Amino acid sequence: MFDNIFFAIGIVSMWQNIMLIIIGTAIGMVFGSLPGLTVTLAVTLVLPFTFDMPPESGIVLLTGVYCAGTYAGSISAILINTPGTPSSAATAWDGYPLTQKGRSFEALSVALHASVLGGLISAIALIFFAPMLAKTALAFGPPERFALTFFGLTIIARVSGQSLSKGFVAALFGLLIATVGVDPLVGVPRFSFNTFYLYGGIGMIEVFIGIFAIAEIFNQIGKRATPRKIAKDGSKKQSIRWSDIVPHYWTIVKSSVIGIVVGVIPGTGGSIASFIAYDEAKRASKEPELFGNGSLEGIAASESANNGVTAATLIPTLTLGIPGNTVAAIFLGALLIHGLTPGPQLFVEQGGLMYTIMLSFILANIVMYFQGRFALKWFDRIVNIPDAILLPIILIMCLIGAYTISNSLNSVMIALIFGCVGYAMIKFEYPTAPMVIALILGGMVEESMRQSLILSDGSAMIFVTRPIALLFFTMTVFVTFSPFVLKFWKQHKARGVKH
Amino acid sequence: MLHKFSISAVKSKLAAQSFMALVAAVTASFTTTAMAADFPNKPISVIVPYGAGGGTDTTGRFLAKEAEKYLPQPIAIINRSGGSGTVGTAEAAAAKADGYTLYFGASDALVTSPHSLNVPYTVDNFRGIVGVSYAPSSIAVRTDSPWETLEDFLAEAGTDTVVDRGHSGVGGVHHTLMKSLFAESGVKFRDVPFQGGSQAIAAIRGGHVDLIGGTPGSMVPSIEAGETRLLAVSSEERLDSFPDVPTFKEKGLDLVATVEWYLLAPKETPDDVIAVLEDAFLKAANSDEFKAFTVTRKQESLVRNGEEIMAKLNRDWDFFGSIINP
Repeated sequence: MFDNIFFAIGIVSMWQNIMLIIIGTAIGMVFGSLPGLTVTLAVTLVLPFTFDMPPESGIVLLTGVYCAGTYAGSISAILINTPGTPSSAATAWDGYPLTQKGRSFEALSVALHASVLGGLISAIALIFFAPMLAKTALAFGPPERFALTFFGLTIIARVSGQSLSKGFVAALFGLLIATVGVDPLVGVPRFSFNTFYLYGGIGMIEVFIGIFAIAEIFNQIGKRATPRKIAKDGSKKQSIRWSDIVPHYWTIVKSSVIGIVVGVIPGTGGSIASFIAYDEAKRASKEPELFGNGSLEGIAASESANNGVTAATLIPTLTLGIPGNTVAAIFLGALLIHGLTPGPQLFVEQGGLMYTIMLSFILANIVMYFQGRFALKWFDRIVNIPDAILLPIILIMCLIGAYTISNSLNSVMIALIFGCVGYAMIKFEYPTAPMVIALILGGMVEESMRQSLILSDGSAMIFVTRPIALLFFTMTVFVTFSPFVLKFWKQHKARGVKH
Repeated sequence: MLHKFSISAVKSKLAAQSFMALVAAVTASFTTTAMAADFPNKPISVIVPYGAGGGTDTTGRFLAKEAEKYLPQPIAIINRSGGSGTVGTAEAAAAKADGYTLYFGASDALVTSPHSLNVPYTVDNFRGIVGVSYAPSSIAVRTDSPWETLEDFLAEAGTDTVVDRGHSGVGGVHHTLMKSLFAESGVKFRDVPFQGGSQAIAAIRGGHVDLIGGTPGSMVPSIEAGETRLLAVSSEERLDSFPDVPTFKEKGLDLVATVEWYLLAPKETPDDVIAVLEDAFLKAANSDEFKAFTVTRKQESLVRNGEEIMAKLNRDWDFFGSIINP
């Protein structure tokens, strides 16, 4: 083991590879922070350059792009209310309100620290627990996956804000959108309006661009009469200090672990991890009322969780050959091109390469930290640009971003339609968070539930007879009903005291 | 700085190209046969109906890179994903038939989807340029499964055993093969579709289903880990990479189904243009570099010219049609 670690240290500290990490994180940062340009796209575009490199260097470069791209999604989420990746959606809920209050720099700073710590914890988990966690991944069959995603859905009840009923309406709308496309189990088109463009469903990134960014632009235009109230000198803190993050250490550790566990399960992805971590942070917080209105703790939870996913998602990829998400699938492709077949024996035969991957995750996060410190000062100035100049630029970037998703105007149409929907939701005070959660999780919930019921011949008992599934359902019931029970009990006791 | 420089380089290249195109257009108006003589005089686009980074995309990109050695113009890959490949395929079918818009895809979107979905194309909208590789389907079970061989599995016919069968998705090649296997053998089943082959493989390794269908190449990690074993492959002959695994055909089941990767052009593309493309892409597909690449992508190399690939496509069209809409 130590031979391999020293070999890996030797590889990672070669100047060429350090240069590659620096270049990779810079590319990832640019792609992640622009709305519509995804980390998947960045990794894909970099991939052909790795064909002619030694496998270690190729992996080092891809790792840099992946880590920084995942982190940088938070920059556009905080500054212009557009998550660069689905997993930064929860970051936007608190990040953008902070920007509106003139505290964007604090938000960016917490996001950077939380991301780096989440990424480092995840890399360490990859080093020490990879083979063990891989077995956990296989234990997740359809019933377990349903229990986990259903647990994710119940978060809707707690992010609905003022009105629970409006939250449910928004969530049901999200679920409805998630059903568009060819049915995953019988192959019949649903709600496709006879256009085969919709056979593949409504793309999530297009919806995000519409519902977050374009709707917000419409909203700002609508408020032209009253100038935007971003206190320009309100952002008092202009330096990034570790001390900012100290109150959130426990949140970050907890969220990173959530990110690792969810990341290991193939096909779930970072977004559900950041929702669960956000929800847990809110539950445990002393100031839960701040969540959704600008809570630094919320950003810390969401960002450390989605970066906690980064290295963890490579665990099933490397040990089982089962990619945890689209980026991991591209990593898998890169390994195959170099003639490396993933599997438990990869750790035995290619131990040096495995530790190189792990160490490059650590190095990428460190490089990302310093690049972030440098870049954030410049990114933060975006909020000082006058609306009349900034809003058209963002709108154009959003439309270009939507176009690049599938290189077609159809995606641009979807983004614009959801821009209008999002604007209506702002005007009629429907929360967008429940809709986004429902849209992201809806497909997974439906598919895993139906797969489970096929396996059990239609009996719902399959969800309570399997231990992991039962555990998640118990948690769901506890987390959903405990606040009501506690409230009732307190009232009851108070009444008892009165008598 | 570097960025600016490369943009201006591209610009001047584009300007030169558009000037060449103008010259070409003027020349073309004088002679009717000039088209093939100066084809191609502008960059060629190849539509890939899946997202960037996947198996089909990387194969297409590698093929294009090789073919550029034999053509005077660059080749650009355009990813038009969506609708399990139907969106890009439909666009390629409707593209201008001048040889500048081509199509590189896997057979699922072309020979299976039109039988179950309402899409605006069929095999008849295309003509072949070159076929580059294929991958058969196969069935795999866990190593602790009672079925050691295909015969063991077939012996379940008529018993009360209900097999939980998983596969990569409805209407694809693997699902279609499963359907005809279970229909012919009469074994009882529950059908559990997953989103993509890797999810199906995760399910068999975790013991959540009894048997799955997928490409043999994708099963390699789990076979090497000693967790799964192949019962049979659906190619014409045994594979070099799995010499011990029998084909369905040699076991007396008439099941030959493969995923094919090929380069096509819209139907009306002129013969002389096709001849230029076929020549260049056949050379590319036959190069050692490209063949080595297909092996890393877990595909079997099989180079075929335009006519052969169309004959194969039409056979597949009828075969999958007869199973999907019996």
